[in-house]
Amino acid sequence: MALLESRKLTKQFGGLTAVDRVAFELKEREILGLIGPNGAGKTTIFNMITGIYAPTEGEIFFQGRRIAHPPLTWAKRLTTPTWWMSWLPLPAVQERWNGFRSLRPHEITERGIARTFQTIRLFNNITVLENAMSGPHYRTQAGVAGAIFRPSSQRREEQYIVDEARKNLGFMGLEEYEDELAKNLPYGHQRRLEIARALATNPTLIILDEPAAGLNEQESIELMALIEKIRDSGITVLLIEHDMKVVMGICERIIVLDYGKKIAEGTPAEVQGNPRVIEAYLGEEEKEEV
Amino acid sequence: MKDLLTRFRAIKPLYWQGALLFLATLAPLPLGDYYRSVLWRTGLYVMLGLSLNIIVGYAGLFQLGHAAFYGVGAYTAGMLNIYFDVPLLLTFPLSVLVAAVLGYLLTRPILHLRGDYLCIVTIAFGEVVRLVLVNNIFGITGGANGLSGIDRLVLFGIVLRAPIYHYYIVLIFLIITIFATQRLQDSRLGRAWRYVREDEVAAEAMGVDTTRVKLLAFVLGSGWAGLAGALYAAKITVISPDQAKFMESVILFCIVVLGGTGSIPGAFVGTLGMVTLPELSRPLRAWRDAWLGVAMVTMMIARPEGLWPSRQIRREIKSEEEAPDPSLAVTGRSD
Repeated sequence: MALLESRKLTKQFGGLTAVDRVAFELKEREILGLIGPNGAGKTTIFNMITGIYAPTEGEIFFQGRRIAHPPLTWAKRLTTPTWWMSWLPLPAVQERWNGFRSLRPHEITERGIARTFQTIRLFNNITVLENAMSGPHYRTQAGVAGAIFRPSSQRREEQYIVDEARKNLGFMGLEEYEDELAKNLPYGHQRRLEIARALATNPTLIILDEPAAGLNEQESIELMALIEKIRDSGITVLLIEHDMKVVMGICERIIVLDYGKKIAEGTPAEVQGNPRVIEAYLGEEEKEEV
Repeated sequence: MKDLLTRFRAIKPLYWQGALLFLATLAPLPLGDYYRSVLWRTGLYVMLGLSLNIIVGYAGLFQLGHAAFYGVGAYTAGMLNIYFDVPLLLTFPLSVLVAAVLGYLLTRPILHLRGDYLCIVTIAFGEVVRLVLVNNIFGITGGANGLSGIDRLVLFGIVLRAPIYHYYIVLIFLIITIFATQRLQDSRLGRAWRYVREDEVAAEAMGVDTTRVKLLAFVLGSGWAGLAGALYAAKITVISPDQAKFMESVILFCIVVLGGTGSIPGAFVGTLGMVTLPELSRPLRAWRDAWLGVAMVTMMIARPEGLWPSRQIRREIKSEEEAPDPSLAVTGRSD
């Protein structure tokens, strides 16, 4: 069974079709690259997978469970008894209601999909360690009472959060910066911190949106090694990238999008030789290497 | 100057906290009733400021209708006492509950609003609460005159009439407030609030249920303001819709912003400026609104982070400044 699967995935913004009936599958423990010229709809797909946008049409399944689908129309809501009961905090009702509604981004993270952003979105004014501590948040419980009375369970939990954060900072080679403010890190480290923070959510699938953007050659090579290390630790990787050296270097499979449509799919070698891909990137006349 | 500050920071917190508590305990003793009342009012407003600080400072949400919950707390205590003869001490937890539930109901539908929009809606519901009280809904709120004849607080058979008793009651609750907010800030929940105020989209993507976390900030802040309202009703024994008026919300907001958003000492500084000084200089009180305007403009130019800011807020506002002093980075905590 595929880890992640999309069917007829479509997103329209007004009259613009950003993503047009895209279907793809993601196998476990693979590195899949999503490439395409600017405006091809790559980030829109990411935003639909992570629940920031709801698709206009089509569905996304993760581990066999539907995580995204078009929002219910009011007509549908009003005729669905479950919608009327959805405010009841009963497990049985909520379970049924979950089958109807789209998941919110944090619920998708809870189910095991972590992401980074195209433009870095760290929590700038807090420390690197605290940034990474946001990962274990959803799998810990301490609430108001825990915060104020600090029973031993809460202290153990805090220790667990710190340990998890340190572990992931160490994985990305950032342990020595843990007391720095996130915004004071050099750019390349900020990119890595974003990945470390995403890894701290214990994902099954990590989605990287242009992780090599703005990195120099040396940093890109280090990043490639890190991405492979992430995959080797059992996490599936889906990435958008413009840096062809990175894409061709580490992706096992590549999907090419153009104007929201999937135009090619295959191994790096197959995609590189595909005339439609060359056309999308370079226009029809020119015949240069991609 | 910096040297002095570093040395000051080196003093164990327990020492100066103990010293401050000692001072706060002794302060009202040599004073007359009027000044004791002023101290009581100061403590009450610091409490209110800290409750608003959870919403504005920690979670970074605008709330310009906070006085509504203060008023609701006072009315809950007053009405329960007058109509049902509930002893005042018992009305305290009920006031917290009613204000918190109202906070939940009013803010749940507007949580998705951001920044200025949230601010406008909070002003609106603050006014709605005040108008409900003024219009004497169901004939139980006493209209514009409010309610009078609330019982005196009775504790261990002693009727607490003198201001000094109320000062100590407020002091106890204030210490609880400071302790609780400090610990909240430095916990999983406090971190979640920081994530939300830093970047809501990223927080959501990291698995933080932002709706829940923001709601919790509103509920806690509102509930605690309700308690302050009940304490007010217990001392003054007369309550009126004036407590929930917009100007009161503005004063509370200014306490937080002038003192320093997210900062506990800031709430004290803000209260001194917004409540205590105007009260002490009665003849000049009419000028408060004028100097408030001047102070706000000056502050926004000269010191936008507040008079005694939390370290994180200072970083946010003065982000173009050079990297912070590494000797301070180790403790890395605000205030």
